[in-house]
Amino acid sequence: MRILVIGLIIFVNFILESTLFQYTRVFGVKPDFTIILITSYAIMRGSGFGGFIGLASGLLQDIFYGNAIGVNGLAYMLTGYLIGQSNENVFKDSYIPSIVFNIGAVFIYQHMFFLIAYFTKNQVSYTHALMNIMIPQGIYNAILGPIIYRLLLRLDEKEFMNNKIY
Amino acid sequence: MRFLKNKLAVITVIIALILVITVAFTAKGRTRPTAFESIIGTAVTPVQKVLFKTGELFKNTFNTLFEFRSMKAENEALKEEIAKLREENRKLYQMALENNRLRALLEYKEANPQYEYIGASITGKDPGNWFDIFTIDKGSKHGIEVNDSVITGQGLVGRIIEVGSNYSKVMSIIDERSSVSIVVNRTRDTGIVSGSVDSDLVAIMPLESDIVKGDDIITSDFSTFEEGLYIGKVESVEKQERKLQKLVRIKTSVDFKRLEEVFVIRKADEVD
Repeated sequence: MRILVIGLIIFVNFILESTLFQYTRVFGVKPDFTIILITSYAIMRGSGFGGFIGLASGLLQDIFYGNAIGVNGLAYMLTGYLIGQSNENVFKDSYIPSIVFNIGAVFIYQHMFFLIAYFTKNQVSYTHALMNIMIPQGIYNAILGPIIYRLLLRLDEKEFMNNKIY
Repeated sequence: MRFLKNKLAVITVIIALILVITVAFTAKGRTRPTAFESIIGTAVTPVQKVLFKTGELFKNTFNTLFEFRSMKAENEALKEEIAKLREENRKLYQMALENNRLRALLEYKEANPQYEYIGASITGKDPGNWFDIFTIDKGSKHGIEVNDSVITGQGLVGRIIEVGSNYSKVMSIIDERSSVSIVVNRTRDTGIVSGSVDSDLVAIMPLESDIVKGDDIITSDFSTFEEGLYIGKVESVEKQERKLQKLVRIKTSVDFKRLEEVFVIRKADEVD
């Protein structure tokens, strides 16, 4: 059941990201709901989940929208893995980790994405990316992150989430 | 190696390496969708379409609601602008008309260089229905004298009957007290034209004179007016056998109801 639910969440998130969530733009910046998802599960369940959700969502985006397969997959996966390392050391009922790690995850992901973009010869100005994408998106994510984290946490506490497959 | 015992870390690193390779291979850009991509695309696109449409609907609805107040303000601003533009348009239209009138005057002036021209605007008129006597804004200061001819680009208007320092009075040719010696341009038959109470221009011609409808009438060389000024066309000819004369109605070329700018003319050599 766990895998099914999370798979469904990833898929729904992917569809909503490309459609309805496009209308959540404030000053041209869209919050990264994938990051919120990855961070939430990384905090709740650790690196394995974080990495897997990152990989799956990222690859889905890459295959469908990206030019190079693996750019998003790699960046999201490593983000999820790194955030997941904190799993054993954080208090899961608090909002604080969600806020902090959402900002952190946005920074890790965007820097990774920037590096990959840099090496694949896409000319992007670092200061422009920092000021116009990373910082606003980090703040936006930090606001929305705890709300969604709370919902996901409640879902995760349900009985059926303990069963791995059925 | 403690690191290798962490299965998750190893898997992550391996996948990361694989992804780096796929990035490197696919970074050049694809134009054709891969097989996997087209499968996902086929499945996802209809769903996306519906959701995107829903989003658009929400966006449009909310936009309309929020724009309601600004629309009112916009409406008022636009109305104001319409009023302003109408006013401007009216002014421009008048300027265009004025331009046409002035151009006609100028053309006449250029075609008849033997006169000295003094341009003047009409400042007032006899409070009747027609321009019988009117005042213009030029007087003796500008060199105007009594009995100078007053014309427009279309033809004869009248003559100066009184001159002040900066104004003059003009009696138009349709005034019943005015009479002008005329000549029919085609046959050189002479006659006298006078204004009438009903503001028609009527000429008395000898019975034997040859005059038909449509003849051009100009001033003759023995009148107080300069000779050869165009007055108008013959509108109708009425034989009065008992009085031994012909009654000729003339349609003036000048529209006396809509006079605004005129020229006062005199022979150039007379001024010297």
